[in-house]
Amino acid sequence: MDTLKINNLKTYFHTKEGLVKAVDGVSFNIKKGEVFGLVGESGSGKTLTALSTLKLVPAPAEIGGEVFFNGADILKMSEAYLRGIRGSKIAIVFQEPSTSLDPVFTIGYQMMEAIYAHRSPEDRSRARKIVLGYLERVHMPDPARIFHNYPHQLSGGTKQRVMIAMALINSPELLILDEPTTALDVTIQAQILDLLDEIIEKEKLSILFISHDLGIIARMCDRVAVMYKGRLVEMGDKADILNDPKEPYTRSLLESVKALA
Amino acid sequence: MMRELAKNKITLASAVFILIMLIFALFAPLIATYDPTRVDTKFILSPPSSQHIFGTDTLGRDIFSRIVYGARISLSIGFIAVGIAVLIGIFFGSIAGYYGGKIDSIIMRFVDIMLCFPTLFLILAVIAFLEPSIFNIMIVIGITNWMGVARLIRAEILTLKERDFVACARVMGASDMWIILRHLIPNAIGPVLVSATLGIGGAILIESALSFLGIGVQPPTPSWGNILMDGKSTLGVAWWLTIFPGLFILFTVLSYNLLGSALRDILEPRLKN
Repeated sequence: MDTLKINNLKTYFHTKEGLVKAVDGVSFNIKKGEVFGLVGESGSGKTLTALSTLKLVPAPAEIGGEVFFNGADILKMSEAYLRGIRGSKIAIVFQEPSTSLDPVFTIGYQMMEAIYAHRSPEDRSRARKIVLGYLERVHMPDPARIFHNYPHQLSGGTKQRVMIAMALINSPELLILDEPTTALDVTIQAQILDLLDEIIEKEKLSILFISHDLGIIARMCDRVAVMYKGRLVEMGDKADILNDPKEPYTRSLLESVKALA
Repeated sequence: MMRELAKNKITLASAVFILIMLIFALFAPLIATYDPTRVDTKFILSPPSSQHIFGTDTLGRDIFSRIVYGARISLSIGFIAVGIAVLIGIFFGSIAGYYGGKIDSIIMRFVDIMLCFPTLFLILAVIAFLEPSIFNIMIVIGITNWMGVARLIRAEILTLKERDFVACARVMGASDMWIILRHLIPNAIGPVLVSATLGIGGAILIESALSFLGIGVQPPTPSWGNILMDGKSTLGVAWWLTIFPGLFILFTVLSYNLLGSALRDILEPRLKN
C-alpha cells in the first residue's frame, strides 16, 4: 500500500477578485520508502499541496479531493485526528529555520514540546534524554549546550538540523521537506543534504521533497513530478524526467538550468 | 534587562524605592516601631519626635508604624488588583486577537462599552452597594481596569499569529489553546508588563482615593489613604498626618510610573530618527 496517495487534490480560494485555483486537480502517490520530488517555479502550488494534505491551509481556502494516508482519507477526518497525525506520523520541515522556532523558548524546551504533544507518559518523563538523542542523531556538535540555547544563538544550518530533528522525533512515516536548503548557503546546504541522505538510508521513511532546484531534486529523489500553475505537468522516474522530458514546460525548466550552468 | 534598568540613575532610584516599600510590606512587624493600632492617649497629635519619628494621630497611634503597615495594604491591593486586571485582559484580548471575525468584534465592542464607564464612579457605586472590604476593593479595581491590557494583547497577537513559528507549531500538531497559551502569550507579554507596572501605580492611587473618602480600607486597619483622611480635619494643627502618607503615596506611584516608563523603553525599541 502506498504511504501517501493524493487523488485530484484541489485547493481553491474564494477571493473578492474571483476563484483562485492554487492547487487544481493534483494526483500522485508516494510508495513506502520512496523519495518523491515535487518541482516547480515559485507560485506553482507546491507548498500549498503539502499543506493541503494536512488541512493546514486556513480559511478562505476550500480543500477538495482525497488524500489517502496508509489507506485512510485524512481529508475526511476530524481536526482532532489530524492534530494527532501532524508532527507524529506526518512531519514537515520548512524553508526558513530562523523563523520556524519560537524566539522566547530554548531549543530543548521546544523539542520536548513535540514529545509532549504526541507521546506516551513514560516517554514524556524521558523527554530530555530523547531530545538529546535526536540532537546527536543529526550530528549536533554539543547537544547538551544546544539544548539550553535560544534560537537566536544558533546559525541557520544548526537551526535547520534542529528542525529536522524535531520532525523525526516522533518517528514519522512521511517526511515532507519544503525547500529545506534554499535559505542556507551552499556549503551548509551540502551538509544538510548529506544528513538527509543518511536519514533516508537509515530510517527508510517516505519523503516528499519539494524544491525549485533541479540539481537537488536530481540528487535526492527517486521519482519526480513537475508542477506548474497548480497542475501536475509531468511525472515519472527521475531518469526519465531529467534525460527525456516529454512536456515542453519540463524541457524549458531543464534548459534554464543548463543555461545557468 | 536588569543591567539596562540600572543604567539610568533615576530608574535605579525608583527600583530601589519600590524595593524598600516591598521590604516595609513584607517585614512590617520588624520595621515598625509600635503596634499601628495601639492607642496612646499621652501622645495625641504629637509632632515628629525621637519617640515617634513621623508623629502621632488623633488617637495617639504612631504614624510611622501605620505607614509601614499601610504599605502592606496599599501594595497588596495594587498587585492583586492589577493581577486580576491582567488576567481578564489577557483572556479577552487573546481570544479576540486569535480568532478574529465576529468574536473579535463582540469582545472589542464590550471593551468599548466598559471604557465608557467613568471608572471611579463605577467603583464608588459598587463599593457603596457592597461593603468596603479589602477583597472587594481589589476585585472592583481589577474588573474596571483590564481593557487596556486586552487591547495591547489583541494587537500583539494579531501580528504574532501570522509568524512562521506559529505555523510550525500547528504543523507539529498543536491545538489552538496550546498555541495561544504556550506561544502567543509569552511572546506578547512585553507591553503587558509595562502596562501592569504603570497599573500598580494607578491602583494604589485609586485605593488611596477610596480610603481617603472613607469607603476604602476601614480604620483601624491602616492604609495610606485613610491616614490622609484623618489628616483632613487636622491639617492646620498636624501637618505630619497629611504630609507623610502623602509623600509615600507620591513617591511610590512615581517610582512605578518611572519604572514602567523605563521598561517600555527597553521592551519596545522604537526607531531612532
